[in-house]
Amino acid sequence: MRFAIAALVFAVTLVAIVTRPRRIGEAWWALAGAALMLVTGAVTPLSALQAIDSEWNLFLFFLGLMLTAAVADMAGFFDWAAGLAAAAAGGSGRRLLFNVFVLGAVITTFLSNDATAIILTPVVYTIATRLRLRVMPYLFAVSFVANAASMTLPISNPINVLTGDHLHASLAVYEGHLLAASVAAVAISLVIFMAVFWRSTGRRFEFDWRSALTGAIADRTFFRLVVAGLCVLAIAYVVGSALLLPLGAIAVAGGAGLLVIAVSRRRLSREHLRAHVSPTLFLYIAGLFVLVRGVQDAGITTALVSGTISHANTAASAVFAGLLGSAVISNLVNNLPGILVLLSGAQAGGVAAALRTPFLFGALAGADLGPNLTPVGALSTMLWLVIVRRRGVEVSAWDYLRLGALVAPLTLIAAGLLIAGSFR
Amino acid sequence: MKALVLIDGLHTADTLDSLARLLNLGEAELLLVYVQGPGPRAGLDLVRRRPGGHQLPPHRERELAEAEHEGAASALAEAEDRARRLAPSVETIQLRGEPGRAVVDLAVQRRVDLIAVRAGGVDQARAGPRSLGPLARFVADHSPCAVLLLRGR
Repeated sequence: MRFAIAALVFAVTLVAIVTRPRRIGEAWWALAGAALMLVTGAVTPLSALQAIDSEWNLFLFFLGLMLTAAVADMAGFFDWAAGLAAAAAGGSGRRLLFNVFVLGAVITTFLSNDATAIILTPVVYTIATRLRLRVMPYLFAVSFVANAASMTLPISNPINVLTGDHLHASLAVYEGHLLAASVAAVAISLVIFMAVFWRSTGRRFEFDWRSALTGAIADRTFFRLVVAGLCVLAIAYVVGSALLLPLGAIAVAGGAGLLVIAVSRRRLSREHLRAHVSPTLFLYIAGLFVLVRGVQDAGITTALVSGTISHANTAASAVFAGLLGSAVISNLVNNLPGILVLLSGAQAGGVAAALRTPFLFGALAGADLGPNLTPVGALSTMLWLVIVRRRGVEVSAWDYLRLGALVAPLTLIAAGLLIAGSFR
Repeated sequence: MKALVLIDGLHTADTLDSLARLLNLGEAELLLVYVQGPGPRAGLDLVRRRPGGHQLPPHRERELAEAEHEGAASALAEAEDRARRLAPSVETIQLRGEPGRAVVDLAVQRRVDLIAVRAGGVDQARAGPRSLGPLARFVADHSPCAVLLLRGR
């Protein structure tokens, strides 16, 4: 009975999170699902608290990332970086596409995929629109590289932090398994993008780079201090990953330090903080943790993971089981609940000890790269398409999906092969 | 003849040269129209969708609107410069909204004799199924006057 109740609440909540009935945000549906888990007794209050408490590192990491991105945006860092990418393109739309891709990869590596997808996209939109270039190839490039480059460092994607807490892998071990796969994913995506958009980005443009770069920075001292702070934070992340220090604490310390710089330069903008720091995201994650704990306590995640890995008897096959399982769930719903289910099942004994590490590295890669197939989960993407079509909007969303159908399988296969090879 | 010419900012020279080749513009009155449609913003919305409902900060909203206005103004200025060499009367108009509907409404309001529109958007040069594209198809379906369909070279 408990099994059925937990499974039903979990499934209904996930559908509500994805479809967002009555335009109510996903956080409230996740919280409602968590409350139902508690009311029905599928999860005890103590177990729910433990589920949230045990992932404090992830909460801190999200907070630190948001603060960092907000201050970097206040200083004009993203506008300056995009201006630099446009200046270095030398008037070529194709070279700009290449530069935007590289810029997206660098920002994703050190500031996370969310910073790239949420903050860099409107900046790139502004530049491409001003230059009268086709906007969509550049927006797609930012969106795809935000996923493709998100395996590079443990801080490049919050999912890496979450999975890293379960793996207890040092930076050397992490990079030993994932660096080659990450580089391959970025390179494959870049080649596909340049080939697909070669013709439509052929237009040349004139760009006043001096005024663009100086216009992006309102306070030079503030900008320099923030860039120095970001460099220190990047080094701290690398050292922290190497020493297995909690990355959430480093992220919050870095974000707080940048906030102090903004206050001391009288550049603190509530507008930026409100836009970049999303309290509902914490509610969403907390709700998901309780939901997943409910299905974990009912033995569902263990059964699911056992089924996913049932045919795997080597490290290589465990990598592919994790990769495919994670990519499929990420596309059905979203990668965060997807990886939570797999981590929970693996932790609860769904995977043999010898196969646990390769399975989790594969799952991490699937959750990072898989979302390139359908950007916000298959169901959610389809709903979005239906809505914009009804509004009569001519948008290249089908192009987006076609691109994903090309990029995602190739990057997943390449990553799977390279990660599997790293376990030999 | 009063002709409404849809300018997309990417194929101005091609569009106006084709028009001059096909029609006698010696006494024509050209309305050059640029419509800022919701498509690109919907694309931005798609690629920014992440849990947590991240809104665009107000200053970014202003920047996006300014960039859209600047891009449209620059496209129309280029088109006007070229069109003045072809026709005695040229007017530029910047609109916002769903492009097909905006163009048809303007054609009704200004009682134009002809709407010139490129087929298939940006990259579709060949004829064939679905090659009209939503905008040209809408205009062809709803136009109150003759429609001149231009194909890219």
